[in-house]
Amino acid sequence: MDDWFPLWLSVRVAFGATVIAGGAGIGFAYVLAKGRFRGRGLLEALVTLPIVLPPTVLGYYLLTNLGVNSPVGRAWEGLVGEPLVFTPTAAVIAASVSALPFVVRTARAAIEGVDGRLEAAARVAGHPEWRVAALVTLPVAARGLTAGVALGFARALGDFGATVMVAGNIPGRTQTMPIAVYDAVQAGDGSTARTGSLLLVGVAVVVLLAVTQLSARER
Amino acid sequence: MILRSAVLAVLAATAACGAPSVQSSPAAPAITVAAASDLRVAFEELGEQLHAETGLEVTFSFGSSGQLREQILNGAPFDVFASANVEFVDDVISAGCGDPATKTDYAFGRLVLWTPPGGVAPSTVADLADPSYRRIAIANPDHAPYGKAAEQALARAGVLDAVGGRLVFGENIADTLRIAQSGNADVGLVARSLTIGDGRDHALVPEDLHDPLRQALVVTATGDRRAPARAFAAFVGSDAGRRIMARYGFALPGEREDPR
Amino acid sequence: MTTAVAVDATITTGPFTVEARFEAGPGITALFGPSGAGKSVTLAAIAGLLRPAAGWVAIDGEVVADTTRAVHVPTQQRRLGMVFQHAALLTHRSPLDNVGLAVRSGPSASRRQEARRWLDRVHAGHLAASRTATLSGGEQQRVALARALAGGPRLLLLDEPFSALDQPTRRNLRHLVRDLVDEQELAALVVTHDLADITAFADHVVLYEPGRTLGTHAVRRGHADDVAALLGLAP
Repeated sequence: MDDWFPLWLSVRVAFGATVIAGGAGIGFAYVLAKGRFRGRGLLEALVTLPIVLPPTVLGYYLLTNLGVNSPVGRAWEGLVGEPLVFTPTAAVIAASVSALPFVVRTARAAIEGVDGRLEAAARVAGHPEWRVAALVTLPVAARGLTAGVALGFARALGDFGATVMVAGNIPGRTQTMPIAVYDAVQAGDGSTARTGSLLLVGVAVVVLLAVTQLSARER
Repeated sequence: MILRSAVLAVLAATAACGAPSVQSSPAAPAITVAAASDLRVAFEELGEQLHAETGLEVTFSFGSSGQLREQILNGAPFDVFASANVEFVDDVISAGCGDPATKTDYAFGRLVLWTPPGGVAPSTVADLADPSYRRIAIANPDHAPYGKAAEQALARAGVLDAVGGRLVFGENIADTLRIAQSGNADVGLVARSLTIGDGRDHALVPEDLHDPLRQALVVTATGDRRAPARAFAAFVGSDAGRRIMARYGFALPGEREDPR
Repeated sequence: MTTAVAVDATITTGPFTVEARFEAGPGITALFGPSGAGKSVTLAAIAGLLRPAAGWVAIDGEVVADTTRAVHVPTQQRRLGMVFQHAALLTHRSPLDNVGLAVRSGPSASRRQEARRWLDRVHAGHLAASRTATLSGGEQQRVALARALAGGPRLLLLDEPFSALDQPTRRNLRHLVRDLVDEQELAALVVTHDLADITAFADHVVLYEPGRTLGTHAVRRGHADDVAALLGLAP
């Protein structure tokens, strides 16, 4: 395999998307686990949507809402000087949105699994809610949160449908590994497709193993 | 139809298309060409030849014409759009994203009936009524021009009802071929240009069985990539370009291929 | 008698409702009754971890909950200490850190000193740097007690603090609780099934039947016959 760009791009995009989906995902998970507020059901539905929608449909909505004809797209272009779509940034957004539901579901279960009396003890001791989250909830749920983020990473690394729609299949610019594999298949290039797939799997396995090792050691 | 024109008119009024963000340096000009998937082998050779002659770097983004059109309308930074049909090119022009002066028909697409080696090859479209063809692959008629043409051919051959439940849709024409090649369909109506290299004879679908697959392109580049983009478009229509296209099984404008 | 805590409220959690009405002063007041009567729920409402469906709660004369006036002072501000049946310590922090989290103010050095002092007071000073998860049940409860007291609470709530421990440990910890409450001049509410607890340190007993309180009775520490007499009154 002579072109390493897609792999390198995929790794960068996946890490960026993991940071975004991980941060936002844990935040949403906390709010959904703890909050009793109007619109909670709506938030839950929105956060689950990327799993439910076919990836191309998701990509289409992202394209029309972030593209050069959209308010967001125009604002971005005004600020940054180039369109948001068809850039690696767009690939990060597509991967983040696809990964988000996976992070939220896993993280929420972990947060809900924290013994309420541990949190109660922290409240009795006088700590405000945000400190209760920082001192108790999140550290105790850490294992599950890490698993959620790892799952999000795997999903982000492998995203195709949404990414190809909103970032495009532009070799050397936005062609991530999954897109490159698909492109190779379309071109009848079985050997590149196989190598690319193995590399993708390899990266995912290495990262997930590392994550498992780290969380096992923390205990 | 009217609704579509109205939507496009609104888009034209508001569209910005792809901005000239990535400037190619005069030293190593580079363009990106969005092309329908059935053009892959032909265009890659065209690109190589042009690069050898002029040093122009051409990057190709192959996909389904419908998806590429959607992307261009929303700001994709492609410099040339070569569609598998002409309607999508018209859409792009109406939306203000393509230069109407550069619109050209570059080929007519042809369909063949592709079967795997050792399979029973149909000689006409009407043969597909035979239930021994349990799965027939065509491109999705909703958004792939070759799919629509295949559907038309089946209808005009009078077998569309007979084959109805046995159709399998590919995302685009390259996908359709892959479905047939992988054994997931017994026969596929695929682009001739994609099968020309395999050295086997496949029955050609007569041109009168479907609306002409007018394949058109348009230059969508802005800024200093306009000139190299036009050069690419010109090369496609040049004698050298047409020879390459013909070699890959495309019928050319100005010539009518003798339908078998 | 100054009232350390007074409650007259209906508290609902899920399908379960309890009507609690009693007052308690300094010293140890036991909440006694059958399982599921609502004793723990009452403690939770006094702590502010549950909101009463109706009624009010007052601590040290301050109304901390009142449904008619939509008052609900958050748990954090009620100046309580609480010990649960299973210590509820953070296993990813040392015993010293766990106690330190309850110390309210001051720079971290003085907080650690204060935490150390409390650990020593509950005879767990030697465990300050141990791995919390490896402590025995009794040791964990000592740390939990230290944590409950380290914040300088005005009211101590203990929810079946000894029921998971063996007899000798229970005896030791009963003495400890009694001594601490007396020494700090605190009021404490202890939910318990254990008559030996009541005999050992209770000054008053609030009797529960399923879903409500029946009344408060004074008892004398160490007088098992008082307790027996009380049981004659209990259903």
